[in-house]
Amino acid sequence: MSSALVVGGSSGVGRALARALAQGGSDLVIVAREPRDLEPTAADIALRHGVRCFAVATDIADPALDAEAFAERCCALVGEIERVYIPAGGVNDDDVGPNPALVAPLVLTNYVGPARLAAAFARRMVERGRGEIVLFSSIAAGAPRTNNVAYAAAKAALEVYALGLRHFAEPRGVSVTVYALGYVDTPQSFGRKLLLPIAGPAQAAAFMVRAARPGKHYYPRFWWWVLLVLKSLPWAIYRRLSF
Amino acid sequence: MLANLTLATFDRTQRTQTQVARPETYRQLVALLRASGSTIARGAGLSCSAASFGADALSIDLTRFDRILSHDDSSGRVVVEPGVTIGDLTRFLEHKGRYLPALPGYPSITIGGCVAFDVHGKSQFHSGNFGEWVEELTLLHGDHGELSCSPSHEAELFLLTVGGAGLTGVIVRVALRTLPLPGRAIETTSVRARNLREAADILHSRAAAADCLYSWNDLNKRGASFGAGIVYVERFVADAASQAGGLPPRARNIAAELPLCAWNQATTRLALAIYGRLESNKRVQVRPLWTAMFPIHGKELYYAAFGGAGFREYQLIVPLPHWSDFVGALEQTLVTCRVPITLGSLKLFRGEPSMLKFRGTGICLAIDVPAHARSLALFSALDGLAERFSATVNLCKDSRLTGATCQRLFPEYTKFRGALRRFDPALRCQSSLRAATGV
Repeated sequence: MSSALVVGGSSGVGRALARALAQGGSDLVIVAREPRDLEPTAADIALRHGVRCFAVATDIADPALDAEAFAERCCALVGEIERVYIPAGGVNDDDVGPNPALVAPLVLTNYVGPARLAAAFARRMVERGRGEIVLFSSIAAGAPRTNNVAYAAAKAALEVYALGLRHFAEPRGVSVTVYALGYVDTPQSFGRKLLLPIAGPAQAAAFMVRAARPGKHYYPRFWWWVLLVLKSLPWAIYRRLSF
Repeated sequence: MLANLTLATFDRTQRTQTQVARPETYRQLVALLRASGSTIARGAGLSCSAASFGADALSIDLTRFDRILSHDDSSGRVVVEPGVTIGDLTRFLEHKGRYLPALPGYPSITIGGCVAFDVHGKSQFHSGNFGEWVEELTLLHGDHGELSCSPSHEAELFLLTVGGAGLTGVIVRVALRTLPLPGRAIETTSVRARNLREAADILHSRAAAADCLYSWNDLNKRGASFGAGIVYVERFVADAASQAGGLPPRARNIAAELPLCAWNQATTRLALAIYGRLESNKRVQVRPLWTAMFPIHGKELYYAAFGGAGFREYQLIVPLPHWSDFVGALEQTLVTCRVPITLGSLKLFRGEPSMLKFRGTGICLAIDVPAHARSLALFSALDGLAERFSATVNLCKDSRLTGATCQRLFPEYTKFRGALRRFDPALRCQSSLRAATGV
């Protein structure tokens, strides 16, 4: 039986990924900050799908986190982990314009935490010559704006890190994927009237667990075209956009 | 997480613009309850009364609290969060060889909603209401924090919460009793009834040998054929072809609506004549568990055809000694009001009235009509019949009930109101239903 890790597995896309992986028969380790959310999710997954599902409560944004010890701890639960998904991250409503207090926390949550864990698991996978790392960016990384200044920067850094990691790991048998997510039905998009369709977390998860797709991809895929247009706009027009 | 949305009752007769939150974590949920003045829990939003929203209350959508928390293989006890749907739970329990007997007929309804309205199924005469299968509840309340209650612990809170329309707080955990599944398919025998009285007689005569029992009746016919229809007698059977674990049926949108109401006297008579003819040709059929347990699934077009104006549903339990006289009075009322009755259905009920719950002993009649001025007049007349024949009405089916009507129709209205206000004097749980009924 295969095993997988989902960081940020107690809600949103993370929970949907955990469910989709369990449905495919994978034993799981799910990681999130709050035991009160994590333990019900682990219990639900184990009960519904008959797999082993372990809950590990950890704040991946904690600067003191020892990523290699954490990876060791997770692997001790289910054996070597073959697929690692790190959709953990988060926005802050006050991330508008220059806000010095938010830069460090948003970078820790959206870049340092995920990249550090990806590095720790990639090392173990490279030693074995196989494995799959999946990171999650955002369309904001390609179209930064007033309302997500630090968040967009952190996600852009994560994309760059993922591509560098891929360059190292892929020849050594490990695939690295980064999904730039568009609108997904999470607390951030709930009830908002958006111009483009919102994808359901379960739909997104089913797409992402189906097969390894190394490299950078947009989900939903039409966002590739949207970003192509946005990136092509002259600054004089882009700066006037409100979205 | 917060949004301004227009929410509607399932019958579409009430729409309110309100603030809605859909938390995904307990930390978010607790923060919302602490920070908001008035809140009300919301599940699938399939109640015909405005119980899950209010103009001045934050509606808390609990559909992301949809986890099965534990299952004891030996006792069959299952513990779930409120957003688990009865369809999901039925599928899970089927794999475990168990089932929950007191379930309504649509799979998207959530467990929290089942508790809030103490719902019933087609086997009420055997299994009672949903609340009788609830062993323990855990609630979160803005002032009281986290509370547990059961029939033996904090019994008054339990009594108020089961069938309490969500007015005691947000249910976060429900422990339920389940039964061993007697078979993986259901055999349905269709028995013709010449009129409404005969349909009730058939229900009584078949009850001992049936697991589930209900009827479909055409209340647009008059005289000796008034309420002619079919009684469905169901029992569990083993059927090798209907094994658990198949793909779940495609999700459907039961809230969809056509641009105009398609139901009028002519279309109703035609549709019911066709339906009656088709159904009367079916004698005995064996159906998979899912199809038989959720008969409304797949019939969403029926509700969509009421259009944006919606429909009204009246459901009441008429005590047995009054049934025959009630049928006569009902026919007279329908003749006077001239409203097309798109659905008439009977079930058998056994139980004691309590608080505002839909419980009692007698014959349960459900009526659907298109929502227009004449149907309001009909429903007022039905209120009069309910009072005259000491019937109990179903609060969750009727978006129109007022405090004055409730006081007349529910003997324990004042008791419920008093206990609820002692528990929540600041009225932290609010909804349009509460505002309308004055509890």
